[in-house]
Amino acid sequence: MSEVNLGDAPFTMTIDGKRVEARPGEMVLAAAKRAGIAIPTLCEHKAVESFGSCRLCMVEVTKAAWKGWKGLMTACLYPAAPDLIIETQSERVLHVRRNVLDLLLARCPDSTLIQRLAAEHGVQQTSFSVREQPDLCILCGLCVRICESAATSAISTVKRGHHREIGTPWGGPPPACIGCLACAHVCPTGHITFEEHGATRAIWGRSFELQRCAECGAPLPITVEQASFLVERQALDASYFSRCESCQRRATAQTFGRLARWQKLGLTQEPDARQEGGKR
Amino acid sequence: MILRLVVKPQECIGCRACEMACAFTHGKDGQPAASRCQTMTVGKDEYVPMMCLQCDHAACVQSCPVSAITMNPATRTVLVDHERCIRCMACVVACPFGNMHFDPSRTLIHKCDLCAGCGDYPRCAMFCPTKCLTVERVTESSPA
Repeated sequence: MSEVNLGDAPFTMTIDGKRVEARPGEMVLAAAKRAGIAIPTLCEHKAVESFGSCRLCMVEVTKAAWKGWKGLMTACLYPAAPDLIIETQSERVLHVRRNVLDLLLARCPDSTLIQRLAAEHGVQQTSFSVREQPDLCILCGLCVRICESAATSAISTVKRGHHREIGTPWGGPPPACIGCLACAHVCPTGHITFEEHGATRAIWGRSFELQRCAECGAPLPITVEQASFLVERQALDASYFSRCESCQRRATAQTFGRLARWQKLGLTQEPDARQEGGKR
Repeated sequence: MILRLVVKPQECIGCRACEMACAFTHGKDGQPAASRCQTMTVGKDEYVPMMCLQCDHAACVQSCPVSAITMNPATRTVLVDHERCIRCMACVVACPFGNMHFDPSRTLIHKCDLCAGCGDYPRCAMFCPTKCLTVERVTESSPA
């Protein structure tokens, strides 16, 4: 790949006839996004590396030296390079995008996001036969990738062919899951659901106890398992995940209020600050 | 140039203009949940406006499993990258001052960013009637 610029200097390329600046190592999608050129995506998330599974970000790539040859590439995985000429709205790109959405609509006819995207591209109805017992999963695998990089690899794709789905080991409650809900929050179509009642949270068929505030006993928005996972992974003290937002805020406000009271009296420092400090 | 929001609780009269200014700047129709600033009542006629302190070694930054919270080195402002955030709530619990917020209606973690991208001048300070909230611009060389 002699044409890839290995230096750090930004270079320019053309997207939809517009000169766009890109940095070495960056993908076409990132450069387009920064330049304000919209490319639809479903499986892309900044917290993980691009994967190219939804195929929605297809663009046409060419160079002046390629003598008219144009390739269809996923923008999220195609590295930006000097003098690339990208088209995101050509007839061929739109045709492929319509096809992808047509297939997605056959797979997930009830997904409002897919319906909206399809309608925006002029696909009102799928031309394929709709899947029996459809769900909202487009099998983009974003949940699996997020769980792998930010949590514990508790879920993965299971089974093969058209039985393929996102699942847990042996279909049971996942033993490694920490109940952080990252999978549910990143899911583009809202396929992954969870329930939270009082101090319990249920996801993937498993129930979790929420961490409780050491001061007032109110449930925190993280699970007990998640707290111990974060303590280990981020190398933090357990006290970081032991008190609720409002207790922390009240304690801080009281400290500041006390300091302000002393300042009103013309003191720059509280007399007993040394003894009273050191809570955290 | 470092942007610094100076809070003098002894000047606060508890009018909550800062909360309103914040909610209207960062949310739709000034819904209170969108405010990143909260005025706490700590005694009779004693109030403390509470917002992110932009810590140098922030607990939110350290606790984020996907490094979605970073400090802008130029303005020394701690910022959340919403596209990177996975809403795991670690930062909300980790902040020792309770200044990280979660807006359930928009499923968004939000914190005071000193109005980065919204005029780059803290709107709360603009609307504070008693100069309890003021803005300082500090050059890198001056003592912290």
